[in-house]
Amino acid sequence: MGGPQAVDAIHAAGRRTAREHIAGLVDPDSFCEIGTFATFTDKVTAPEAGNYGGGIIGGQARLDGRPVTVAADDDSVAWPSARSTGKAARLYQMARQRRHPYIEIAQGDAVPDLGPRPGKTGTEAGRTFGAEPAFPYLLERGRAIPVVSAVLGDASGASSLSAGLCDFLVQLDGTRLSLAGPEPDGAAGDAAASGEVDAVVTEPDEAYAAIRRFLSYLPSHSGGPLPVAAEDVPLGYDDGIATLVPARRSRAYDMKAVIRRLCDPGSFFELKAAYARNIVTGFGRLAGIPVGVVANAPMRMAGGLTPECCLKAVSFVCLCEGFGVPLIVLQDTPGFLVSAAAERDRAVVRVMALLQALSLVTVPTVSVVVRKAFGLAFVILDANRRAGLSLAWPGAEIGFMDPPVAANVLFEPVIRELPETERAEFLAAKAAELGVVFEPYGVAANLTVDEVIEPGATRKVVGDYLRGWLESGPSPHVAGPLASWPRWF
Amino acid sequence: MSQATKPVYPTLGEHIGRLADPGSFVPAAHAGDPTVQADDPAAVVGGEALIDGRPVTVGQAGHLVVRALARRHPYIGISSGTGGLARGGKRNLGVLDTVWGMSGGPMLAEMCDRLRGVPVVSAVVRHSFGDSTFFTGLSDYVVQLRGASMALTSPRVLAIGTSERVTMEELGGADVHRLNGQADTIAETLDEVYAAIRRFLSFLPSFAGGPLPVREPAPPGAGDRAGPASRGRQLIESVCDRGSLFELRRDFAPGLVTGLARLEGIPVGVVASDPAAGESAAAERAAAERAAGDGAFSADACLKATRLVCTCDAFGLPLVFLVDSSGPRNEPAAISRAMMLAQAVQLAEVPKCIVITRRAHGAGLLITGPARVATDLVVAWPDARAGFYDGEAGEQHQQYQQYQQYQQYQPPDGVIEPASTRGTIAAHLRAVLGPAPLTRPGRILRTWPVGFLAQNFVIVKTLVCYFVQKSSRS
Repeated sequence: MGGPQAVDAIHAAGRRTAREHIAGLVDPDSFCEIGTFATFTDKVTAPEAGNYGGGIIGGQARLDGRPVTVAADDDSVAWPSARSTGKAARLYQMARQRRHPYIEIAQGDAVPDLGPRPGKTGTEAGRTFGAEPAFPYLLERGRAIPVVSAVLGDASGASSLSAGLCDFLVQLDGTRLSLAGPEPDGAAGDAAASGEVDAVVTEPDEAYAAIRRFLSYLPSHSGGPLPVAAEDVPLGYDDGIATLVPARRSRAYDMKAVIRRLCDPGSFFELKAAYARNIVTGFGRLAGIPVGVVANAPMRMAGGLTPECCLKAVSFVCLCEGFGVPLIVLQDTPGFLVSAAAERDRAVVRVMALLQALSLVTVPTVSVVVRKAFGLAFVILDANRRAGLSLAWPGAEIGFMDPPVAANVLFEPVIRELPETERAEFLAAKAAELGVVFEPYGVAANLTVDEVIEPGATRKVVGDYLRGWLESGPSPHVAGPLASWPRWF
Repeated sequence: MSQATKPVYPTLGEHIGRLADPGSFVPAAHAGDPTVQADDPAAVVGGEALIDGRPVTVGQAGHLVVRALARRHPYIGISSGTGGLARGGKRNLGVLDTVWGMSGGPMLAEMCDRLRGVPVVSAVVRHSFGDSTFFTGLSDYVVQLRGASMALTSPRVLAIGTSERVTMEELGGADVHRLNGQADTIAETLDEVYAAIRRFLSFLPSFAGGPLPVREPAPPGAGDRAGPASRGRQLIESVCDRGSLFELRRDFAPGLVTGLARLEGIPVGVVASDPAAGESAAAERAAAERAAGDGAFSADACLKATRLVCTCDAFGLPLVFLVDSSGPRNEPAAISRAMMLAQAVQLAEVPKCIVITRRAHGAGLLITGPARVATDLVVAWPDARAGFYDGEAGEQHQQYQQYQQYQQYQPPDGVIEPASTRGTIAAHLRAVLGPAPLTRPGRILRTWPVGFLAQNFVIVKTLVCYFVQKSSRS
């Protein structure tokens, strides 16, 4: 590290050093450092000995008892993100070889006002650019091991790259994460607003907890056994879940309450909560088995799907597929929100990418229509196209379009002929006719929906399905092509 | 085109007659498509034909795509003008399995399963909604006729569902998809549509893994060889066979030129920075690009290039990158987009030829750096600079000033004179291209999304929707 002065400066700024972050994150006494004596290799501009570490502090450790590899930017030396020693790359490769998670703590720009410090030289960088950070190896990682990027200080350049290649990106509020360095006008892409960040935290301790929580749902490597919780949560009937969903189709409600009720108590962990809030994504557990949940959120735009929702869902589905986590889809949506703005925002290719993603899923998928599902949205979110289990509650409406709109579109020529006064009545009657047709027993008749179940039975039916799948020996999970899709588009 | 007179559209049979080689069309029977009414005289649903002597299947939107997949030759979908609702909905009303059928379900499944096994082209030649549009979103190449539009659903459904009143043109006209990148080519006439389709297919093998359609070498164009200030298109002209550049998505992220071309007769995908983009009055977005830098490898440009890289990798076309990128830019999702392109370039297994013409900074560096040295060519012109940050933009990055000394970049395969760029690339391609196909079934990029998920410059912050509120009053 950069010496006592630099460390004091970091502390004076109210921040933590790389080793302090690692100590806070991992299990006590589990950190086993490598490369302690690595130094910057160009002695022309870094003649002083003693600034050891090479810009990265890292090694093996344990997190909740499970082995991980951790690498943290050492911001007590100049421009640590340039990483001339190749230490991050080595640490990533070690994690890959041992098949356990790799955690990178990014804070490469954190203390820019320390004045000149020894660092890598330009000549060295010119020879080795791009080959030093873990970056080139991450490009081909294919979600083989979970990768976490925690932005706990300002980060740009090489320090920012893992943010674009990880499975879980957690950022400390107030830090800057950007590809380029700080700009004169202070402009920086807001990673949280662009949906790249999975969780924003206000304290480093919160970030450590979020990382532990995130990894608790995943196997140590793709194809590894899922970390099933030891405690046995019973799969009883729960009639109360029905009360969370108002029967009236226009009433909004909190879908997250439904998810929490469906999952084992306290097990739901939401990702990208602030982005595209009309769809909810996160991990939970059912009968102790980790699951990924994708759910429409009627509190927001009535649960209608925007192009951003598609991005959020695609990203999450790729994550679940990569690590063999089963998917549960809870549907209550009027469909894709159509507008000129959405079309400009490339609704077409984004919707199709969601379709492509869900078509390529190989993990078990269960979909439940809790209230309504229409048109292409239903076709895409429905599980049974890939031999998943497709369920609907008895009050569900399923059809090609919201009935009142459908009536209006279908009977437009008839309506035009009618006197003004009779139109509303005619439309209401036709919508009601369509409404009957849209009851779930129609789609259950031709197996578009596999079963109509009482809401109270949902937890038991889904849980039994997952238990059965787990017992019949699904592992090792061989991830499909989605494992190699980008983390975000 | 006046609102009052209903335009007369060519039938599918007429389209095929003008698109394909004369007399080559063999119409399919109705091919079991339940949505086609047998008593409709215009109900030609497509069939097989030859284009430049090579077999293709042509159909209405995504219909018959399964035939092309089975026969391992390209598929061309002509947008049918209507979604499932108008085509089959009225007849099938009340038959619930049409949720799947009316959304074009079987076609969508085939399109998702194809994984770029054969080239798929979508021609948007009239207003298209519903499954015609879905098909377009899953196609490798989209040509849109000016005056035609493409959207998820029609202005009429919008008016009823959300009270938003827009014209077809505003909703999904040529100017919408020209600027958001969902159309690869905008054609002014039907003849331009047919020519564009023939041109696109002329660069590709009939199926992934098929032999490349190599042609007689032609001399290079008379592009500006003077060096650094070369504009992207001129640069490509000077490197590739004369007149061979077929540009894709010209007005989307105009700071980067992407297209298909030939180099000594070999089809290649080509990506070139265009530092002078924005001089064309037609490119509205270029103004924003210019304001924020030179636009090469902006977030949108990364999406633009990624689509090309995926297409080329799937069909075995070598890639040529002519890089001049001034540096990274901070904009929404910049990191992810840059990483996506870097991943695509890294995962592409076709030969890659990377020429740094002036600067490789930011994302330009990221795609250059990790190239596979064993198979790829990485060269630079004299005085080319590389590094994550541009040292000359020093006032902004004072702490990086010291790194100016590495601006004399030593690329793995050496420094070449600009005039020898074409020869160097050609020699490399001759050396690495053998009789074996350049693709294999397990190739990762074949599975990547077909349309890229670009985000607009204007992020849609509030999208007020009355859909449910309005429709649930009944």
